[in-house]
Amino acid sequence: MKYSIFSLLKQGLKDNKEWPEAWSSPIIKSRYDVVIIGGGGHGLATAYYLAKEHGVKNIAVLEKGYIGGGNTARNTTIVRSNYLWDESAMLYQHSLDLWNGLSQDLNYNVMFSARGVYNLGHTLQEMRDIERRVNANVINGITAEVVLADEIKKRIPLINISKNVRYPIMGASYQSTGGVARHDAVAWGFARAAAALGVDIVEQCEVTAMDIDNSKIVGLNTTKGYVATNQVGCVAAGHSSVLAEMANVRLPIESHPLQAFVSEPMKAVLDTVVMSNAVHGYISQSDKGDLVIGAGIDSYNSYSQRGSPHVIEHTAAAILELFPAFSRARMNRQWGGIVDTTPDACPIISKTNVEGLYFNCGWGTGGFKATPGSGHVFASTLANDSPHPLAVPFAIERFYNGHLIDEHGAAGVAH
Amino acid sequence: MHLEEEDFSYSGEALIARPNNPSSISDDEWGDYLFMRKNPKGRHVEQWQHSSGCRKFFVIERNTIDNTIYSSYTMIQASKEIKHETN
Repeated sequence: MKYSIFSLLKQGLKDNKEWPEAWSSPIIKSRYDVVIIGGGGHGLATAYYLAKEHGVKNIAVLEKGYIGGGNTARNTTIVRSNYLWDESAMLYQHSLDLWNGLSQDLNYNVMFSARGVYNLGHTLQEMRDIERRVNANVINGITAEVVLADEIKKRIPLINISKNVRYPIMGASYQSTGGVARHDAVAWGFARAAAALGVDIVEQCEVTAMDIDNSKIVGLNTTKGYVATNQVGCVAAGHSSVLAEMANVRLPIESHPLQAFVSEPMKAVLDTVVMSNAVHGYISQSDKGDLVIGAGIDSYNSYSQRGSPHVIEHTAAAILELFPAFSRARMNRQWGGIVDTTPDACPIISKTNVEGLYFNCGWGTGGFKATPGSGHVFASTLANDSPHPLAVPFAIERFYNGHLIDEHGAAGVAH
Repeated sequence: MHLEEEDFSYSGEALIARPNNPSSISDDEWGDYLFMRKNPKGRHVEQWQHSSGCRKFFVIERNTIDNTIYSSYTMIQASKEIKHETN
């Protein structure tokens, strides 16, 4: 069913009791042309673009939990593309271009809202870095500008630009084309659109072993039986190393908890996204009214979707330094997700030594913004058995030949 | 004795031996040493430093799912005992 004003009216008159399910729950088949492991936003987007743009018919997405239960629904929903280096700027801008038409493309409202993103600078050196990054962005055709403290105060009345704090705000980079989207709608929208193109989305199905014959992938053992296939795309975020081990592939990934929390809903007080590397936090207000707050990872490797309380304390302290008025806000929910960090804070989109086995991982703390672009370039990589031009620099080989893309400055904290 | 996590700093997977002859090994071996990590879901042998205390590094084996700590070692103990087990 196409969602429109007419379907809304029609179903409304039937008391909203006859809406069909958004995607079906098929019985897993014994053979697929392509299997995507991981039903998060990136995996679903990969399947969607494989079916839509590359005409692949027989695709499965295997998800060990349920759709919208992992990192796709655990992040702070920030979308931006103001990365320093050409390679990552191009990749994230490709994604931002797709965000702009995504709701129409998927026929599902992902509520992408380009409300702008501020990355604050609190020291002279940070301001120099911001100038450099903004200039690099502009050269790459990415909307960016430097804004000074007084102007920030005009645009964000609640922010504290006093000099009587430990790290006074001096200015910011501003990307007016960035913003937020509704995270779980992104998972649902891609799932529904992929299923409509014939993709089998199999939930509660965990891959337990890979069947590799003579350095070629030939099948997967899953909790729902054996699946024969010659092409497998692993898009498992924090669990990528677990899959890699099944294939004896080595990855430079370490899994860490990343925590976030939201306040009780309140009236509109913040109409943009504010991030700070120095005090280490980022905040926006959802359409529902709650303040959405996050910060950095817990330091230790972990696969539990929770972190340590002192990280929450540090995050809250950072946000209160920026917005003292929020000290009265009560926090509503807190959670963690498992992020797959790499040494250069950039993703891995790559073939492996096993023929037919591909990895799309390492998005670390900032993968949500890349969801459509990541799926788009990975689908092309799978369909052509050759990396999409934008994915070439992100191959695993960079950790052996030294061509790292050091985005810690742009990606270290901010998402 | 109970000490807070904040007294300690994490320093990742333990017992990664630096190759003896970096100039004569391949790029693959060097990249593997520098960057590739086991990152297991389950028992993980890892280094910590008591950074707000005695400053010593030490090794523990911890479960990355539920944070159970199975054992702890001084660096010298770890290099002798754990390597011995895995060899």
